[in-house]
Amino acid sequence: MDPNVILSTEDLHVKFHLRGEILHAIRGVSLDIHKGESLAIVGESGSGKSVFTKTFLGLLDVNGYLDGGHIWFRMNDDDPDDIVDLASFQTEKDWLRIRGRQIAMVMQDPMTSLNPLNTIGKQITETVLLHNQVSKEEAHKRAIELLTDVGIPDPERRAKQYPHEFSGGMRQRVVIAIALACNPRLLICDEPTTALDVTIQAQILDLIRGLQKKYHLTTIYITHDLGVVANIADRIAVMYAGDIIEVATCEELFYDPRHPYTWALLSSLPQLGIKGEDLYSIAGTPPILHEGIVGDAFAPRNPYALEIDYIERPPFFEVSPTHKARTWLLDPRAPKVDPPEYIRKLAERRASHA
Amino acid sequence: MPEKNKEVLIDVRDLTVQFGSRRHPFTAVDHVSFQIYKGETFGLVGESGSGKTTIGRAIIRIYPSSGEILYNGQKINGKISRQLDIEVTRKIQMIFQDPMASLNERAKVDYIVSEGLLNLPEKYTQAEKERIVSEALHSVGLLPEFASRFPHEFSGGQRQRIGIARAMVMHPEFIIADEPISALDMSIRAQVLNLMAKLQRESGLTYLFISHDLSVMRFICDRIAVIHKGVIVELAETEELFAHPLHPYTRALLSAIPMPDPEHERGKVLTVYDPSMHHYETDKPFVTEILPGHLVHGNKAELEEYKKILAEE
Repeated sequence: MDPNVILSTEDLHVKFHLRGEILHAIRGVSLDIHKGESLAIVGESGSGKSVFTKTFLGLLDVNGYLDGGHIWFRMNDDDPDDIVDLASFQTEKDWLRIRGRQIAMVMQDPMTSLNPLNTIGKQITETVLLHNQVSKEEAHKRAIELLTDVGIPDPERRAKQYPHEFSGGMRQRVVIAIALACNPRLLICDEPTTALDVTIQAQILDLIRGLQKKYHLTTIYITHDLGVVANIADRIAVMYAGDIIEVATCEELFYDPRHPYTWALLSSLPQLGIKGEDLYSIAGTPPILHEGIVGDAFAPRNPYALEIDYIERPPFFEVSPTHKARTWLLDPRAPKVDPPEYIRKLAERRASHA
Repeated sequence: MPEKNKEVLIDVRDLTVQFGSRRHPFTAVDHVSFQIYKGETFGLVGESGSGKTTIGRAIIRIYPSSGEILYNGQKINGKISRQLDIEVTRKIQMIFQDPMASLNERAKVDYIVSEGLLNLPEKYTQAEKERIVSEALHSVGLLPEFASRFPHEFSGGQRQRIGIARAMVMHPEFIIADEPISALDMSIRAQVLNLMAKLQRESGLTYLFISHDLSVMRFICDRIAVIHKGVIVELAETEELFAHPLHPYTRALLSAIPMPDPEHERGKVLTVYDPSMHHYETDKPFVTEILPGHLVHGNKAELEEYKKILAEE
């Protein structure tokens, strides 16, 4: 494993038992997550983005299981050999070494992820006490410190209040404070701002970026909104039907996307739409993941689909050392296809900035 | 673009909605006035708790309100005649935010879509009902055979289409869409926005579009009202609002719009709105039409400031 990589999945497969059938939710995903970066995983609901990251914490629903593949995780930056395979974990005891102190998660909805019956001070100290050998006083001190870090004014007083006394944005700050309570090295934010107002969303994204620097965190953002990730991501991975179909740096993905699905996602953003004209919308619906996807999963909805897309699954083609995409269009034998108008416009706009 | 001589469909005058007990009233909407022209899409933008949903619900008469709501010149809030009540029920419909929560899980699609017809004095035969339902489903791009299915068999986008079909079955003139796409995926959002635009072209609908997301509103709204804490702070045609935002709250909202453009995002400066910046104790604020069609809320000192900004630009 490359010394810069903190977590690496290798041909990961996740399946679910569902109503007597088997659902192939993650279909062989290999992805490296670099130390200190902020990676965004973008995909629609059902694309498997949440399931994928839940495997890092052993939080799959009871009907879900790993079906092959590895999740290599570096436990210690100073010891290059201290690497564990999270996919081999069986017991809760194994996971307790990881959850909270190595990898922490911020859930989507701050209205439901806090306990309404406890003060928020108690909820933070509880986490601190569970994972660290400290006294109650020290834990309380740490809680106040965390509340200050996440930008909650008057933390001593606020710590004595209950979740219902906080607004949505403030609650999400508390949830982030709890996630940071044990100094995790990897922070997974699952749609951290989807339930929030636009102005609050911008503030929370700013906050996470600041905390990332302060705590030397590696962060993974999960979102369905490509508009949001331009702000925060160093690298972006686009997921479709249980597979990563394009990985690139933020600039490469927005200014030079290669996969037709990425084109479609970008084109359907209302920010780029022209008033009075129809927005681009992707025809059809995502495939059903009960076993048996042949070829490229996006092919039936892809206006640029080639014959081979229906026969064989495309491999990753490298566009640059940091940019690869799973589409036959990048094969040297494929016909040359121009990206849609919206994409070219975005690239032009960039030229006008420069 | 709406012009001055456009026909007014909804005229809201001094609308006030209060919640809570008489002793501890909470004013959710505070003397709000605006007009919606026939055939336009009027946007109402604000954060949660600003009262935007309350205004929509007051218009459709879910909440009691004081002040006047005129529909085609007739007052529709408070006590109204039975006949007017039926007409308003028919002509004003609503689309809800979360298609996972707004459909009756235990009813089949044909009942969900046709339920509104039960409130009308006309009695429909089974065959007529089936025809109306299949027409409504067809108009939103669903197949007629879906009528015999249950909501859980549909995806989020399809459910929202059922929600729209339920409104369309009444042949409404005016639809209140309360965050109709916030709960949907990106690619489905585009489909629903396109569908709403198509229905507007075909049936001459008027929309009140309620949202917290200005980036979507720029795309579909003709005029936008910005609401903060129950008060409309600015109202203008969409492009005018984006070109010359005057009220500091509007500016804060505009600065927060996420753009799919990394370089733009990196250079972005967030404006934070602090309501304590206003000094309204002695110099009371009011609403003025600072440019034709562009209204802004502020006191005398602030209006001078806004005029200066406009003169500079």
